[in-house]
Amino acid sequence: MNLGSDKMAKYIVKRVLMALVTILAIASLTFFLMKAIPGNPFLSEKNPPQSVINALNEKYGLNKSVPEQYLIYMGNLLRGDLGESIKTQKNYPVARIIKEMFPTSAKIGAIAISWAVIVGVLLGCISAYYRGRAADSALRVVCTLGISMPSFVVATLLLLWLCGAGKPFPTIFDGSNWRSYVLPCMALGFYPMCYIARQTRTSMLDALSQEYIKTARAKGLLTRKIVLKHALRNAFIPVLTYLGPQIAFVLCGGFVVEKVFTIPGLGKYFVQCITNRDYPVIMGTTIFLASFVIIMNLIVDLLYKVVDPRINLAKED
Amino acid sequence: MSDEKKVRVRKPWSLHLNEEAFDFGILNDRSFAPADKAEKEGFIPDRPPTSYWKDAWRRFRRNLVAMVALTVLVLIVLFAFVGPMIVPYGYDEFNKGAENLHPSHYSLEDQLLIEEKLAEAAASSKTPAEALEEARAAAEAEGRKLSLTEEATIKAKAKQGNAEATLTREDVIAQLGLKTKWFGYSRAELERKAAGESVFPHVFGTDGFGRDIMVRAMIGARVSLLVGVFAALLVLVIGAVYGSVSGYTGGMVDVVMQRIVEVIQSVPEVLVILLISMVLKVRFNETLANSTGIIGTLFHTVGTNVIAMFIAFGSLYWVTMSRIIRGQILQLKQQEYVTAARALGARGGRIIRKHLLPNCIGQIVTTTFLQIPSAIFVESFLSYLGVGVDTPMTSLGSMCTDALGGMYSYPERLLFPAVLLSIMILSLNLVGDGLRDALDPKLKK
Repeated sequence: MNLGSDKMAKYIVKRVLMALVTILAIASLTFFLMKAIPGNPFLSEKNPPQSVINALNEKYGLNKSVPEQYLIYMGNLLRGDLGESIKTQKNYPVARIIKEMFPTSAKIGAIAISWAVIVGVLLGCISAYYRGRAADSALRVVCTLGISMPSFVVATLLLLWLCGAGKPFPTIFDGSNWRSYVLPCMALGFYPMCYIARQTRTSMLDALSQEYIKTARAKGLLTRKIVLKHALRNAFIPVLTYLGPQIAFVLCGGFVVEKVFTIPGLGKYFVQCITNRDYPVIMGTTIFLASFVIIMNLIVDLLYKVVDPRINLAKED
Repeated sequence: MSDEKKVRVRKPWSLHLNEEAFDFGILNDRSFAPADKAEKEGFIPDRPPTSYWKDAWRRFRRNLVAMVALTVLVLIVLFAFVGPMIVPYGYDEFNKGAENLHPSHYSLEDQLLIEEKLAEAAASSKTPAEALEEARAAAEAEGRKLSLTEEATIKAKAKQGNAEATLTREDVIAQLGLKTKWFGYSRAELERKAAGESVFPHVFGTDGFGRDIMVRAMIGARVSLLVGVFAALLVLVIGAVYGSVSGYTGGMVDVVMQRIVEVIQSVPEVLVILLISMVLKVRFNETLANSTGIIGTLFHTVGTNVIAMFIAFGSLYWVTMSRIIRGQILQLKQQEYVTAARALGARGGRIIRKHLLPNCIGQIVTTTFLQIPSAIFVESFLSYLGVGVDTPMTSLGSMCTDALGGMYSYPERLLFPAVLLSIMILSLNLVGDGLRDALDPKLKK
């Protein structure tokens, strides 16, 4: 790589700063949205006396001015304090809820995105290799269908057809049974798989029309070898850029998939909190998930620039 | 003047140039003579002039996939907007006595037959008390009394026998080999139909409250389509204004505006949309619950959370649109006609509106159209999580959530809206792809 390392460093610093600004923006947005929710959180149907409300307001810092509250809130965020649940699990710290629930979701999400990338790239290559033939047409139909089906549709259809007594997969999620993971991961990874397959096909066709492929052909290499060795390496790089948005999709898709398959993960809990209007949990989880997605995006983007030496860092649009 | 004969009389519809007229070796007086009638007609094009849109339509029509998708889309639109006028049931109307209907039924005669069989089966089996009486009578005839243990055994046997002998509805249907007929009718409706009244069937069945699922699917599809179209228009307006200002002004303004775009672009949209629409919904419900002004009425008729959803969607999704338009404008503003317009004293706003935007109309139309399926996607996701449209209004996403409870007994309640939603998004995607190929042939690979 003959790029100036200071150029690279400058680019990395710029991207990291950008990510920090985005996280800050989301945290601020979350704070002001929380302020926009009407009513006092301590006013319930029990109608506590004014003195109690005052005491509670003082305890949670609600008697201070809004800018002061904002600073306190941001300070707490920096220390990893995301507030406490007010309804679903009273007085339980949101950070602890996330710590307990996220691993299951992350596991399913990681499996889903892995198989989506592997199968998607493979199908994309097959589609490009057999361009215009029956296999290509069939794959394109499947993939277009795949990006038109919301994940809850895929998840419920799978549950309906393949779960229950006498069918291969259990209805009730059991973390120690591998069978329980098959369908959720399938449902979650289906959309990204189709999306990645479509993108791979396009960039593969692009790569196959390049001059160096002609050279390889002229040398008498097998077509299979040309596709897998010469074209795939170049075709895969643009696919990397789509990984970031797909990670976000998988995390949000997790909400519905976990709801459908009753998986005790963060997604299902999040949906429960939406129903119960447990705002601190919703806000805390949103900040956490958004930061997670932004950081993953950052990593993927940096990786992309490092992997492809042709990309000119100075010419960032 | 033998040279003159060299000028061929050409067919009037031929577009070929008179090559000999340009052959300087044979220049003569005739070459400078005014064109005669036949020659003039030769220059009239044989096809009427075509406009940009006509040309695009011609290309679109050749695209078989896009045409099929367009047909399906038109059918769905008819289903969603004309359908509810034809079906006599309301989407929030409880049809008493027609609850939990499957989209199929047994004819009235078959139902009577089933009941008859069931009644017969019930009559032929003895209750434990009857069995005991019989056994006692038999024992007395033999001149002995039954012991308590014997009595208990007889009772238990009768009970067990009954359980084994009891016929379920399904058994009877299997025995008689009855076949279901299409569409859902309740018993009362079948009787009315037999009496000669015309009764509209529940084509997709009904839900637990007796609401007709087909009408609900129609209204749901309508809500989804409207949300998609309005969200796309909102994105178009915001994106076009932001993108063209940023691209046309350039310089520091452009840099700052693009930084903002980059920040918004790296936000996970769906998460934030979920958050914003949830909070705004509560906020609007609280502040506008009793307002009667224009805004209040608007919010009441459209629904607070639909508006909350629009705001959330519009505040994030314009980014892609603005980037595309900015890119186009950066290219186009170097063109001579823009310089000419500026030289003539046209202001920035006029140049953008009259010269720049019309020149990237193809891209704008395609991007706007492809926003519709993505908005429907997000709307169905929100509705599925319960943040979308409010009851009694419905959308395809919330119909799917409602159906989750009775999923195994009534799978069709889930399948109809889910399949309709998928077909809708699919056909919108395909029509959008077709539009892109038709409006922007340069992009086609």
